[in-house]
Amino acid sequence: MAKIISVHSFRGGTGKSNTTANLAAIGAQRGGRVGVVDTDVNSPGIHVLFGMDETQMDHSLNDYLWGKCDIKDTAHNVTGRLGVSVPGEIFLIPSSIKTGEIARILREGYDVGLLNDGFQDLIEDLNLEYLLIDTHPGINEETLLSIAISDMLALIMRPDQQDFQGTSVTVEVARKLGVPDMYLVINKAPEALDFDKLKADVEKLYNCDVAAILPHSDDMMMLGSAGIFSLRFPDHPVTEIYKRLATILME
Amino acid sequence: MDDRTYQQLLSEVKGLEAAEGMDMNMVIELSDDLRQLLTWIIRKNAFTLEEMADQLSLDKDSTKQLLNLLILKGFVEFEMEQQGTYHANVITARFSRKFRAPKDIWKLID
Repeated sequence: MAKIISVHSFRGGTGKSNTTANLAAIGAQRGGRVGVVDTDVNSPGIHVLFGMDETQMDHSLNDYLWGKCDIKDTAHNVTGRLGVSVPGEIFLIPSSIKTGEIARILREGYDVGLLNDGFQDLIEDLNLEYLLIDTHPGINEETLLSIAISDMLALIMRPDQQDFQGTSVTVEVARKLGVPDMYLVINKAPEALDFDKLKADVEKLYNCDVAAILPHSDDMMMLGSAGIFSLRFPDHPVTEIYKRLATILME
Repeated sequence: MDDRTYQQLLSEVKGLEAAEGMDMNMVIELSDDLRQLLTWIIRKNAFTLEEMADQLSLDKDSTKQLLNLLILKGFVEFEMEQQGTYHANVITARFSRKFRAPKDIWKLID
């Protein structure tokens, strides 16, 4: 049975899309059929990591939500864009990056229930083993739904006071919605911090396991979402952490 | 499920305003028991009376009473699916709809 994993954070800029893309790539390297849905219709971006722009999107999630097509028509097989040969496959369901379409979906909204139906249809139509949901930050109806239907929630946070406060809200919401499994991922952690102490403190604070601490990486910043880090830097220490994270979340 | 919890569930659902589907912002504010039930409904997306009775550890009649209330309030809808010669009564989750353009309209516009 397919596993639905939401990658979420209370605040923006924590590294959700990069984390999601790296998890997808590692999943495909391990032979998995992975779907990635960009539900951040307000500020879509994960398609950039897969080397896509608006001219390459035949259909987007927006088209499905407006009833223009089936959700399988929005799935783009991006396996060939990875730049390396992998035994698995990745299907990206992007949100539209066209200004008018972003404005329209904000103005008019959409049927939230279609998201729920769509996720199930994707799993069935594409024979997926994993469906990764790259969510919009913060708490809204769409993120609540994503959390509610997920088998696993990966909560990304930075060691920053604003993130600490906001993450406690999301942990509480996730517990109320009964997510079967939840892990914290601390991203962009300064190397000067004691990571063992940070892990222990955060786990105690939220009563939730920390699956990984990703250090701030100049190499990651320099890449700047121009590609998927774990594929560009397969032997990098940060890639090793992503691999361990993938093992925890996806197996 | 014990009778007291069941009666509390019924009472809480009765007290909710009827709507055109569930609103996640509303779901998060409900009691633990009702929230758990609605979250189960959302996760299942489509289910039978028997599955709901099993989930709640309730007899079919009690489950039906609760289900009828949920249908009245607009949180689920009842469909009859035909699978070969077998008719399955399926209940599906409903969500409050913000916008939905009928598919046909695009044929006129495009």
